[in-house]
Amino acid sequence: MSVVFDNELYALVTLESVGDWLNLANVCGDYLTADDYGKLQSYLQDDAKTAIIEKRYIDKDYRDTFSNFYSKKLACYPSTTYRIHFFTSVVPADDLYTLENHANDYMGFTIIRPTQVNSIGRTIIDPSKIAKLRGLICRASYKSNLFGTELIISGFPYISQDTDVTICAHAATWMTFRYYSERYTAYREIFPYEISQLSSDVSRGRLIPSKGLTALQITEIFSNYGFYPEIYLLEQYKDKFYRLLYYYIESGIPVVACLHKKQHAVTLIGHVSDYNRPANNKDSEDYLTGYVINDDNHLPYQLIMKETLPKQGYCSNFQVEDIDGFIVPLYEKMYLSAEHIEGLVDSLLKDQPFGVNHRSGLVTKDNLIKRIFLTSSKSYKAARLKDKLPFDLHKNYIEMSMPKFIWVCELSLAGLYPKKQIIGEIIFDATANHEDRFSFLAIHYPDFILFNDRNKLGNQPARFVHFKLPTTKVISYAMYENNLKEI
Amino acid sequence: MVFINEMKFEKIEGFLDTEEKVKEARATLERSTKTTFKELEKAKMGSWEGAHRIFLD
Repeated sequence: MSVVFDNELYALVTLESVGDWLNLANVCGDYLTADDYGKLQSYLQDDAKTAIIEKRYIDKDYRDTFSNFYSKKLACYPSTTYRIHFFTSVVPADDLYTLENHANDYMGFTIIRPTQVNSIGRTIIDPSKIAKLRGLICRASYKSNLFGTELIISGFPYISQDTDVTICAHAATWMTFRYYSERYTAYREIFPYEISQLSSDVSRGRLIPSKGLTALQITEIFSNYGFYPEIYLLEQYKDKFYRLLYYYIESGIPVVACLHKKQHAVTLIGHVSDYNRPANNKDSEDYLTGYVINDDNHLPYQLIMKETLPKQGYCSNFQVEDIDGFIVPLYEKMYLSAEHIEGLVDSLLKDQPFGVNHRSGLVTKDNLIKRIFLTSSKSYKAARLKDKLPFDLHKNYIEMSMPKFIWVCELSLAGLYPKKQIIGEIIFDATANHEDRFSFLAIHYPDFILFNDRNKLGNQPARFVHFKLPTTKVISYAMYENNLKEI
Repeated sequence: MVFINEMKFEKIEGFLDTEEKVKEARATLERSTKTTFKELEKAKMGSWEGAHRIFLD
């Protein structure tokens, strides 16, 4: 008997057979649609062993759409939801009051909304608890409380569109907002109906029931929330487009990707790479095999693979090449964009007097593999304190006055990149104007170091401190890996 | 720029040691990025203009 108990408020169902999953569907009744039941079962059946259901759960996101929309309909929609908690172990009824003993087995929860269409609401699942998932992703910690026990989930938020108030693009922005509001105190929590009302300035006609959004409206939603978004279209950026997308994902910034021909939007939250692939363009993006996405039509952490690569694991039917636009929600003080960094790096590495062929006797430009990303100077300094640089140069980086965010171009070699080792880096001030070609803070090659004092405005030689480093061989050290976390 | 962690390495003689050399270094970077940055400016404007045609539902 898999239904251990089922009363007015709670149910406990063990999930050890297909029949057990049918019992879970019966407990959820008309709240859980047949389609969503099928999705949950195929997604979780290999790993989940217990479901605990809260039957009268007030979900803040559904309550927001209920109050502003569903309560105004003729049909009586319930104001509460079902919340299903999943565990990788069998939780006996006697353990409900000591759930801390099962904290390590906690997979997360999903909200089941009584919306009749697309019933899966706010969902936070720890991807590490599902064997078929893989990749490096943006992660934050979320708390849930069950029977007096606080349970922690490390993951990325997911929600499906309800097709009334929200459509795919709203769901994609909600996932991004909720990640930021959970991870950083600077961002406030925002709810689905509120999001739907943020696009009013460039909209024509009514906002709900939603007819869909344009990429410009998504940008407007981000702006009105408090981000400083940038928009990139494949037709405009051409061969640079996919590299720029990769740089933002490598920076740990989730982006809303547009699949225009499919009329769909998804949230890109991480990537998968194969370091045995050849780096033909001498760029970290060469190793990319696919992205980790949250597509509101499927459950979270799907892989969207490059066209030519086999689909293995939990994969989307879409492919990377279907992405033809993306919107990146930048923080206010990230003034320099990825495209300017890429352009400037190429010139810095190539030209006199900073070029690697001119300043280094140990490496040449043609051998270097670039890895461009944005990060906070706080995290970068902390990481460099742990993973030190040759000649104690990390001490100078730590001492340096840096803005809140920096762009970094790490330099590696084909034999070292798969071992996550680098041999130098160029650090940029993300608050600089893109027309300022001296926006770099430091240039480091194996046998050369230069610091640039950003407080000096003119061309005085005193703005630069530079040295020849005393080495006759290339010394490698650990690349920076703080932006994304392994599943 | 003064560091607590004093670097006792060999200075590079004649490298960026006059205002003219620094000015020339800046000008070189400006010249070599001019075309790329101009194209990027066009791409940015084109993206903003094109964004209202990309409908997602």
